[in-house]
Amino acid sequence: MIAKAPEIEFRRVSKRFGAGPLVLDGLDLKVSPGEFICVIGPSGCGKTTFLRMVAGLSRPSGGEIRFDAQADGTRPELAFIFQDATLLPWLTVLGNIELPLRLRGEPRAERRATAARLTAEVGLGAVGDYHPRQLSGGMKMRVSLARALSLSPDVLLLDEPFGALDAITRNRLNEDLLALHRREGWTAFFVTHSVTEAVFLADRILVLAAEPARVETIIPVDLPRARTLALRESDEFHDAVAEATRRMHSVLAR
Amino acid sequence: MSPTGTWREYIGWPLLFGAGLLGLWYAVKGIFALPAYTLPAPHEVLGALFDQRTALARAALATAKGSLAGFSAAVGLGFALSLLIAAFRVLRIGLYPYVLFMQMVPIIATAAIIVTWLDAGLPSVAAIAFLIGFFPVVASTVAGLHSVPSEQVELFRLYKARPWQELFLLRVPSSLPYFFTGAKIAATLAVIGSVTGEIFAGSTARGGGLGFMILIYKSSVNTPGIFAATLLCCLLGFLFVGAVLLLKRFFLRKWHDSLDTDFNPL
Ligand SMILES: Nc1ncnc2c1ncn2[C@@H]1O[C@H](COP(=O)(O)OP(=O)(O)OP(=O)(O)O)[C@@H](O)[C@H]1O
Ligand SMILES: [Mg+2]
Repeated sequence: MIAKAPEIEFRRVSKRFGAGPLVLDGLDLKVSPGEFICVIGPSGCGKTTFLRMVAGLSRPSGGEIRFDAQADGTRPELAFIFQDATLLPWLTVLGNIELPLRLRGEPRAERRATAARLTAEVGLGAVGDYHPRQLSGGMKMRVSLARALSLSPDVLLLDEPFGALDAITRNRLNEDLLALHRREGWTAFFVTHSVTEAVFLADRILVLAAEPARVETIIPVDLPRARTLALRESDEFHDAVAEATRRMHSVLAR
Repeated sequence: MSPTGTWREYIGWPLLFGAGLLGLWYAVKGIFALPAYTLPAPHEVLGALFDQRTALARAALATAKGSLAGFSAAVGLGFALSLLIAAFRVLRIGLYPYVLFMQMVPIIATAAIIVTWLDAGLPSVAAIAFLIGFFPVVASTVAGLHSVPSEQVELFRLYKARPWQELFLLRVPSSLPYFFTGAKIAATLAVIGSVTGEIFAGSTARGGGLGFMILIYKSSVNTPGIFAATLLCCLLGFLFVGAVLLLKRFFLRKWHDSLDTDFNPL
């Protein structure tokens, strides 16, 4: 099930809220289909705002975002994973995962089957009938991930999804996320505060600065695409993290 | 059961305090040498309850009917109006303020007006019980329908949910805890409203309820009878609220956390 991920082009995209300062100023970027972009930068620099504009939850104040060079603003299938899992507490794990399909009017039997498959894929097969209050933070994020994948999205937007989790859970989820990405081929925008996480996941890292509010730099990550937790032990990986950190600091300190 | 207590504590302490309050009651009566028509002793109240058991039972049933009819209408129509207010912006802006305003109308005033409109007896009693419960139900439910976390709303928008889907699959379930809070208030007020109505409509009521009995006992200076009837009003209110809490528990037990505080204040 390879998604028909679009090419996404940002043309001089800027954003300000009301009469406030510019949150984003003239962002130019071209993202290839299936690319994994991590977004990093200090708190308040506009990472969430950037994701919300891609999702269409917020409009750019200037410039435009084009999907497959279409100017009419039509969007591919997008899924948003919020910082907290945003599950509906009255639905079970399966009920939450099938929700997007239910909203699309998919017949009950089919959406149940899809939800059951996704539940197993994110490793929650045993807790399909649990309610969110019975789940740990990591399990909730897995449900959120499975729900996002239920519509076979073309683009996945993740806003610091694993920020509140412990390192072990986080690493495991990162590895699972990459495996899913390799298989399904969606384009990902992943906001994080961790350079290590960004290097592990990304094809390119977008560094945003707070003041002035512009794209400071784009750091390509030259690591093989098939990444596993073993890679994290390698010198190659440590070098890449050190290099990315150095470049990030040199631009943010300016 | 809260982990901080045992059943023994939860039964023992209330019994102990109950005994203390009864003792205080007897003490006040003894010290001031109060006669039964001023302050009957607890055993005199129980005596009146026993003597008047058929009349009081019939009255309690009548009050229960009026309360139940009014309460059911308040909850049903209140929920329906809340849905309309949530679905139509015009109603939310134009009508909802008046709902909030109507909550401030004193029961006594409502009763006085209703009794001049409707026949005395069940219809007017139920109407008063309805009016007093209706507005709190609408106020809480509408508040609940609009206090959905914005990220959940955005999630629905992102998935291109239709407005009715957003209402019934997101806002309604999310508002249920608020709805039950309103229903609990309505349950308490329904009994109070019925009794108030009966006191107003008392002179012409046939088969009158507890409020009517209170009027009768008052005219014959049967103070123990008034106490007994009042005791039954409280028990009836307790029963109503208990029923609402059981329903709430049944519907929300699986996913909502704040349930135990309803039964256990700790
Ligand atoms: N709805 C809004 N109205 C006004 N200002 C806003 C709004 N949303 C965000 N902002 C402002 O835009 C700036 C960027 O906010 P944003 O949430 O995108 O930051 P962020 O990079 O995601 O930060 P964090 O890492 O803390 O999540 C902030 O200065 C914030 O005050
Ligand atoms: Mg943010």
